[in-house]
Order: sequence, then structure tokens, then C-alpha cells
Amino acid sequence: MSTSSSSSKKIVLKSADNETFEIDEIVALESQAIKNMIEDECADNVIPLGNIDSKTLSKIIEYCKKHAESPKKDDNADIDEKAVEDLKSFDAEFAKVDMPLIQDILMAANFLNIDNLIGLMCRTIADRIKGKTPEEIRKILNINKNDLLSPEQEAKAREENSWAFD
Amino acid sequence: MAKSLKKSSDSERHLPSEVLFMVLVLLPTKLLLQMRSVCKEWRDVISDCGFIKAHLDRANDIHNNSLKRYINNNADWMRSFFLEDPGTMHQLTVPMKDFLPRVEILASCNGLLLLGDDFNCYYLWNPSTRLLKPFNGPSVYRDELRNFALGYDATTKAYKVVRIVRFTGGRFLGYQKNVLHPRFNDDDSTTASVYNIKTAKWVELEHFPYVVCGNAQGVTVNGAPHWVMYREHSPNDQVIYPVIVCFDLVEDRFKEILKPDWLDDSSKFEYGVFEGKLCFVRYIAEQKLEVWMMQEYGESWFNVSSLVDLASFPLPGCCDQPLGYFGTMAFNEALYVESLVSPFGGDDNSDMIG
Repeated sequence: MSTSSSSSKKIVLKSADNETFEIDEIVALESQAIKNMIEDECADNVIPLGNIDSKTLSKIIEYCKKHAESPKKDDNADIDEKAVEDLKSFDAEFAKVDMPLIQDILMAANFLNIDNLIGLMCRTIADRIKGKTPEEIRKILNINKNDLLSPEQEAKAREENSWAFD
Repeated sequence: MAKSLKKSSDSERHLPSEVLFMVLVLLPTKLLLQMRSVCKEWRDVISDCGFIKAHLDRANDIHNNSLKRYINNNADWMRSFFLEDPGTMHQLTVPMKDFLPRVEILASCNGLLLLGDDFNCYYLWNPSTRLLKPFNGPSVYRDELRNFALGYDATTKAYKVVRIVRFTGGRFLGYQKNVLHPRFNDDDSTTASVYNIKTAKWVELEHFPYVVCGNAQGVTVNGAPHWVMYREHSPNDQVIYPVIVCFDLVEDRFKEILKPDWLDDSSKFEYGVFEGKLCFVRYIAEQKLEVWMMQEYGESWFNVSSLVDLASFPLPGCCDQPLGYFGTMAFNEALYVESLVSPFGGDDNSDMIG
């Protein structure tokens, strides 16, 4: 990792596959969990994230960078609409990835406690399963086969609300 | 670090229940009913009380109209549409079809609708899950004016029906929204009773000094029904004055709350809820109106005409406005939210979600 010439404070994150990412502290603060660690002074120079792989972590950093740069809503009531639109289209582009990665980002964002990103990923999954049958959803989300309802249970669940399947 | 996030292959990727919860809570009721058969975990999350409550809170959120619907009954069919999509009507399947011409929509709360017929049958109905709970109550007659409210008492975890009936001495008053003459003669009398869905008991309230105009439902503020009613300032007063009355669902009694200074027996107004707060539209003259809002509940009234955009303010009777519905609901119409709340309460038929 090269050291930046900028004087702002840096944080180093280390992924499960031992890749390190040096980022500005302000970017890291988008994560409530990291923010708490820093405030409680229990963050070392390097924060190991043993459950997040480098592919997921780099996406998350990309998101946090963009959101840290954008003016916050509560800072200034007169935020220009262009910035809001810009962030919206960034989010829409950001979410155009495959379902396994969406799930990985969501779980990591939940762990790191990044509210906006959790919301974005939840909405993305919800939109992708809307209008899909239970069979299709099982495939899309790769539902564990051991957790399926027994044929009797499934028949019962369907019968209770057969109209909902019209 | 939590091991559950670690994965060796795609097939082991698994959203923890608390994350699944956050995804599913975004979905509309009909999809959730379908998704109960995806797998055991999904079925359990969707049936969980905490989930149903979180889904309801989202539906009731004043900043989110995506699960809010408007319903009306025109004797041949019941139909509803999303507030955000008033152009698309949905015909509702009414469970007691044979009685449809006589079934009226009386009140709404948390996705449950209170229906009643001309006799003594009442129904608590969730149109989003099609679950229906019938119960009996006092009969009503055509020469009575009735006002109903449905509310949730969080202390006993039960829904309650408030029924106000005004006997008009044989006059048929029709189902007008606001009958201008509040009182007709000495035979004119009003009684109020409360039904607890959980205990299945009607209780008539001892003292009810108010007169209600028309058949409009109360409006819900802070979870409790509110009406403008009329009463005498002193016994044998010739004039009756408007007051704002709220029904306390915990104590089972009516309470008066602070009203705007200008509200008197000659005022022309409509009332309703806007952004969760009780509001009045005050008609001063033709083309001239003011909007008043109770900013701090029970504490203060302000003229907010200059603060709200009157062009986009949802004026009474307009339900196609972007900001939602404002006004009281007439007989046979209601605003409701899509929810999974059961009219039957929990497994042991006891606690209800609200």
C-alpha cells in the first residue's frame, strides 16, 4: 500500500483473504461499527475484517467513498438537487451486480452497520423477488434444500391462501 | 468475527434471519402470503408477531403511502385502490357475498376493517389476508345515525369498537357527511358503547353528553379516534357548541381536547389528519380558507396556511393527492393499510397485534 500525501487520517482495513485497503478515516466513518471502534479507541492501525472477502470489501469501500463525498442531507437544507440525483444514479448503478454479491454486500453492510447500504441492498433484493413464484425465489436466493416445507406443509400453506397465487 | 458470514461456496451463502426480516418487511401482503411457502425459515419470519408489527408500522408510516388504500362500497361491489395509484381499481372479494347490499364499511384500523349489516351482525375483516371474524352487537335502525371507530388498546393488546348511536326521533336523515343542524328536538338522544374484540363484550357508557352530526367516522390521531361533536355549555342551553372529543382506548372514556379559538357554532370547517396531526380547513368566505394544525398534541393550534402549499394540500374529499388523504370518511368508505394483522389475535385467540 502506498502512503497518501494527503494529511487526512488513514484507516487500513484487512479482508478475509488478507488484502489491505487504506482509506480516509472519513470514508471509514460511514460504518457505524468502525466509528464506534475508533471512538472507543479499540481500533488498531489495521482493522481485520475476517468475514468479508476483498471483492465485497472493495465494493463497500466504493460505496462509502461516494457517500462520504456527497453532502449530507441534514448538513444543509438547500442541497442542490443535482447532488441528490447524482447519488441516486450512483446507487442504482452500484446495485447492478449479481445476486450472490448483493447478498454478500448486505451481510457485510449489516455487520459493519452501514444503514444506507443495508437499505439499498434490501430494496434491491425485494425488487428482484417481486412477482416471482416461490420456486423461482428458491433458485434466485439459493435457499437451503434442507429447509424446504414438507409436501403436506406446502400444500397447507398454499391452500390457506390459494387466492394469493392467482 | 461472526463465522456465519464466512462462506466456502455459493451454496452455503445464507441470509441470517434478522437480515431476511429487513428484506421481507419491504414487500406487500399478497407477496408475503405467497412467500410463506418458500421455506420454513421464511414461513416463520413472516408469521412472527414482531415481523407483522414491523410491517404494520411501515404501512402506517405517514411518509410512506405505498401500502395505503382507499375502499368504498357501492352496494354491488367493494373496490379499493392504492392511494399512490388511484387509476387502478381492485374489486375485493367480500366473504359474505350474499349480504353485500346490506354490508357497510364502518371503520378501519391497522389493516382491519369493521363491517356491519342492517341487523346485528358485525365483522372484523382483513381484506389483505381475507380473514374474517364475525360477532354480534346491538341492532341498528334506519332512523338512527351511527358513528363507529376501531382502535387498538396497547395495554390489553386488544382491538375495540366504539359505537355512537343517535336516535333522531323517527326522522330519516340519510347518510350525509355533515348534517348542518346538530339537534332536531327533545327526542333526540345519543348513546355510546364499546366492544372489546378480545373479551367479546359490549359495554354501554354511562354518560354521553354529546351530539354527533352525520355518519362520518372519527379520524385517527396518535392511534385514537377523534371527532368534532357538539354539546351544551350549560344545562338547557339553546345553542350547542362544537368541541373536539377523543376516545381514550385504555380508560374507555371520551375526553375533550384543546380546540382552535375560532371554532364555534357558526364556523364552517372540515377536519382530518395531515402528516399525523389533527388539522382543520376553515372556510372563511368563498375562495378563502385557512389550514389549522394542532402542532403539539393537546397543547397548541396554529394557522399553517402560509406553511402548507394549498395547491398540493389534500383538501377534503380528494384522495388522489400526492400527500395522502385528508378529511373524515363518510359511511361506506375508508382508508386502510395493507397489513398481516389477524382479526383473531394470537394462537390462543388472546393477544392481538397492533
